[in-house]
Amino acid sequence: MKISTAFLFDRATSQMSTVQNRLAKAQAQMAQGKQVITPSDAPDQASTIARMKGILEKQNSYLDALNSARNRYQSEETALSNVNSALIRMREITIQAANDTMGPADRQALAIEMAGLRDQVMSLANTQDENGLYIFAGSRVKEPAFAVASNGEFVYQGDQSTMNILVGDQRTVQLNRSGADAFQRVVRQDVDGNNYGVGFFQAMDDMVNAVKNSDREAMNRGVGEMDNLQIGIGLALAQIGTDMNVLDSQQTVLEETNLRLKTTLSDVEDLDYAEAITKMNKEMLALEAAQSSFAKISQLNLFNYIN
Amino acid sequence: MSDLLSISSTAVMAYQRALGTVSNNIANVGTEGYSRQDVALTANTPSKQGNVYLGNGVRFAGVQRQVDDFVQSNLRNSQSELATQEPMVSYANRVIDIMGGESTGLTSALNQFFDASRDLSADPASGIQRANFLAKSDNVTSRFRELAGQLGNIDDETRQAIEVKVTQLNTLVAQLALVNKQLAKAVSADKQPPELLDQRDRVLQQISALSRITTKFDAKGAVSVSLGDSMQSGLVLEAGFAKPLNVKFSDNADGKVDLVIDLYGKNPKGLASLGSGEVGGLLAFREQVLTPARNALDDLAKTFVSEVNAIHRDSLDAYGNPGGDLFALDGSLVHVSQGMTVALDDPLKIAAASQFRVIESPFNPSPVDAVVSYAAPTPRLPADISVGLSNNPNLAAAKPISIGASQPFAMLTSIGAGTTDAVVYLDDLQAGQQVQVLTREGVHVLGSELTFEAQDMILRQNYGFEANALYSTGYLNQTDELAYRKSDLFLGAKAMPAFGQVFDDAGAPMDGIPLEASLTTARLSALITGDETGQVIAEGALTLNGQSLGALVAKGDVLQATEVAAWLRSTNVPGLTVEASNEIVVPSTQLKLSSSLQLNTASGQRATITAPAGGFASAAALVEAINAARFTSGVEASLNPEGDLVLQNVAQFAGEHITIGPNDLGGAPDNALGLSAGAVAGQITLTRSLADPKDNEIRMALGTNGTAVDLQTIGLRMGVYVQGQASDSYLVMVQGEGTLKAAASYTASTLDPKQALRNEPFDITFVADDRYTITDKNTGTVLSTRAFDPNALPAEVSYRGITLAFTSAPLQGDVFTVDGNHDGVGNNEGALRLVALENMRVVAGGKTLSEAYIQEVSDVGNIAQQALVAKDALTVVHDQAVEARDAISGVSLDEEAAALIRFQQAYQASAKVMQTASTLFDAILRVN
Repeated sequence: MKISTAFLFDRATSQMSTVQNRLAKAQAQMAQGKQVITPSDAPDQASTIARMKGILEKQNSYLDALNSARNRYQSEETALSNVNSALIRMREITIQAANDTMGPADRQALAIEMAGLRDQVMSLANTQDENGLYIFAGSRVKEPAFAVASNGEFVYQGDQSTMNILVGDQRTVQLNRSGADAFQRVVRQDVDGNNYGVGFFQAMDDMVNAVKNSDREAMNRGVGEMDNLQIGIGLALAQIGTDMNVLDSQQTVLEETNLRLKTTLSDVEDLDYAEAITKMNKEMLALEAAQSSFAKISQLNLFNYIN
Repeated sequence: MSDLLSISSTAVMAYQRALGTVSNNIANVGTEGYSRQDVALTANTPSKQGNVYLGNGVRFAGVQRQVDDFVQSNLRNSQSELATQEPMVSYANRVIDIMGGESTGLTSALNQFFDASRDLSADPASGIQRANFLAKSDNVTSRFRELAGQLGNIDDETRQAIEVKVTQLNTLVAQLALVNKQLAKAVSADKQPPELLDQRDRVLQQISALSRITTKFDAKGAVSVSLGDSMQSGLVLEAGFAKPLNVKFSDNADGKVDLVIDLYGKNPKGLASLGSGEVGGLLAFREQVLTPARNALDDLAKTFVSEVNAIHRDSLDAYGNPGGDLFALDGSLVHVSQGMTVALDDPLKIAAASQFRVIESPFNPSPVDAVVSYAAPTPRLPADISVGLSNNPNLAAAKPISIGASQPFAMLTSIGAGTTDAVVYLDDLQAGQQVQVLTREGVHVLGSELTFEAQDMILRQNYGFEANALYSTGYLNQTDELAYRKSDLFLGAKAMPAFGQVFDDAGAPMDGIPLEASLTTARLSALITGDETGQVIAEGALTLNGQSLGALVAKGDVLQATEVAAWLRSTNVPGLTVEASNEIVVPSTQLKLSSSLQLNTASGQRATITAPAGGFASAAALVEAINAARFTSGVEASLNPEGDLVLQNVAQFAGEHITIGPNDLGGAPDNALGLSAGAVAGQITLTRSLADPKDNEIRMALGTNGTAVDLQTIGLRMGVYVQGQASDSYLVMVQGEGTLKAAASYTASTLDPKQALRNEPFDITFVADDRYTITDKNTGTVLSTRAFDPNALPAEVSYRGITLAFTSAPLQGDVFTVDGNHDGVGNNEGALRLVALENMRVVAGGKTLSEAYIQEVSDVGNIAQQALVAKDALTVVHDQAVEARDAISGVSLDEEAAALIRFQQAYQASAKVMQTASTLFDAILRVN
């Protein structure tokens, strides 16, 4: 079969440019370290890569949610453990005040210290986060959780709503503790024998007044109630501790998932340097061979031999 | 003569031409589309000398163009096929780069939006998080717009490319027409100049790169070209006439393209499609990749916007108002995703809280948690008053209802919550029929207590009652502070002060002047008799403004209106005046002035008013005559402004029966008035003064042993009155066999039930493990007492569309409060619902939003991949076709060099022969 001169040249040129294209692509891949530089390089892989990147982003956002939950727990824990210390001190004072050897004047001094502690605990119960929102107020976060009404009563101004957030595809954690849950009420019996609840701060206030007025019965009652108040705070702290453990284990899970996803993504997207360099060498060899063979063959012409 | 000289001269000329042809080939070695020209040498016809044929040398027969038509057409076809794939590959790759790229694609923007809602759910009251969420929402919309814009750019580019290529096609076809004209000059294809045929083939090749063509060559080598598969459809070139192709793009979302051949000519024909070639490839790209991608993007935008907006509207913003739309689409655009924007700019208007809130009381014995959700309740039977009864209180418009023995009660209507000033009139009730009004929760508010059998029969779900609700009579017939939700409900006959319409100088309505409450009975029946003691209505059967009325006794044979008036007056209700009256109005046309008349009241004497001879002169004369006898009869007459005759009692007998005579003759009235003979009873009007603004109504209710028949006896209509806006649905039913009529007047409800419910917080209190009550917090009314199954899973309570789902069955003493969350800014349930949208399968085909988008990218990717593979395969085919053509038509320098030498040697040999002939001739010439 005859090969025309034009065909000979055209064919050689197009083949050389094909090899050059492959070389250029290999060089670009190696410079960026990726096998798939633009989605059009591997159109069938483009959707897989997009999906995996999406899942990775979602895991990262769960990690962010975890961190904000952890910050919240830590501020609640700090506040509650300070409350606990104050309550312990208050209990000491109460027992000291209940002692018969104390005189009314001494008790007045103790009552002043107790009042100070009560106010400290109240300000801890009204802790604010970095945005100025009250963390123990349930969902009524713009107002302090506990306040003193005009008639001197201690009222809880928040509500009992609990907020949950997602920290994993199927995992929710409770973000807040409402003031009513953390600062639990105590139960007293009225004259008919019926139980009725008395708020946390009201009980503390009653205690302070009892010491101030040297009311023996109320002071004895107050000692028992102080124990109950501490139990309530202790329970809340335990719950926070448990939740923080949950966060930690969830973080481990998320980080492992992240690693797995990144590995899979890298398999698809990243370049295997050893393979790429070998391929590049092969292409370079092919290009050199094509170029030199073309140089030799193109010079063969019958006219060179006809003088 | 076949001699040396002539033979060699033919040879020399032939070989000279052959050399010329070979040098032509060599010169055109690089010419595009050139077909090698071969030399055709034939021997000259021999001449006969005696018995011998002597040859006459060689003749240059002509130049043969080396071409194989089949190979040429094969090459054209494979070129078309290859050219189809190129635009598909390059544009599809561009689309993938745009859609799948991280900074241009939608996936990362959607993910960031949902991440921002996750962050918002962790801290919804924070201004920073809200601003961040708003920024990310804006990001999503701008990414949608970008994408749509980029795809729109590709649309414009491909459109322009197609138009340019079609113009090129038309130009080439026009060139071919000129070539055809040139070809027409020669006689046959063999005689055509080869360069012209080469040009024809070259143009055909260029055309086939743009579109696949079918060709037909005629005897002279002129070609007919068709763009379709056969010569019948799509003919663009015939002999010397070229028809241009026209392409038109539609602006709709379907992106259709119309191809017309010879649009402005005599006979335009549509072309279905262009299958291959560059133009075909561009059209296929638009149809298979671009248009579906744009439509999928628009559908995704519509779904995204509608889902997010639905969730946003269901939630509460930081101002305490229900959220509006978060995103907006510009409906006027063909591709809506180009006009997607954020509809808010105030971060406080982002709705992250839920519209309802449930609070477990801190004193609950059990640690049960509750989750509240709202779904609009489906309307239940009986039909609402605005649907079932027309707003017309007149008796004539009343709806007849009949109650049979098999089901001795009928649920008439339900007065829906929000209906204002509703009254249901029940007329023509029979003895034994009772009117009852209950709420859907089985709380009986008006009527008389139901027996156990009746409760069992009536309080069922299919009659409109709540399934587990228990019957309660705690609010039965109570008023004021003790009434159900402190509403004003009344069963009986009621009249309130009305307000006359007053207009100020400008004609605008002002507050009305109150008019006294006034209740007028219908005309009593003239034949009411009592029982053996003359008692018509028993003692205590009716009450007037709370005071029980004594027995109504008919002193005479029949009951007179005056007796009823006196009986009503006996209650001494402050400010109440009762008047009995009897007025008969006779239209002047009804008067029979020729007849006589007998009149008397019950206490009067029968007076005969005789007609004078020739009858009464006029109605006025009749009036005079009646009045003349009034002292006897007790009946006086007058003419009213319309000319009608009005009969009434004389003042001291006001309200008594008026008897008219003489008797009817043959069934027809035979008296001057034209009325049927007999007694006509009066009616009673009660009026209450406005002296006491708090107590200025007239209320006539049933007593402990009264029935509706008693009210109807004295001409009053039984009605169910709901004053003000109805707070709940009230079911009106009638118990007892018989027939009745129902009419109504009301102002229909315009309430949004969800927002109304948000303003009515209620408590759910578990009084026992298997029973709970629902109490309205605003009024303290117990709305419902229901049975609860602690073993049923899931543990749920529903009320008016709100569903409370408990983590486990609550215990006795648990209290849950549900309210409209007016101040719970830190509530994050709305944001959580937005987060959940990420994984919800809202796109048709069961896909989430991200999955739908990635599916689209993957589809485009597959098409691009297929095009790439096809292109590789077709390149090989095309190369082979080129090779085949070149094998036949291509110029090989080596071959030409060899031919050159051959012809050169032949030329030299022939020249040598000429020289020999000349030598021989010289030899002959030297012979002397």
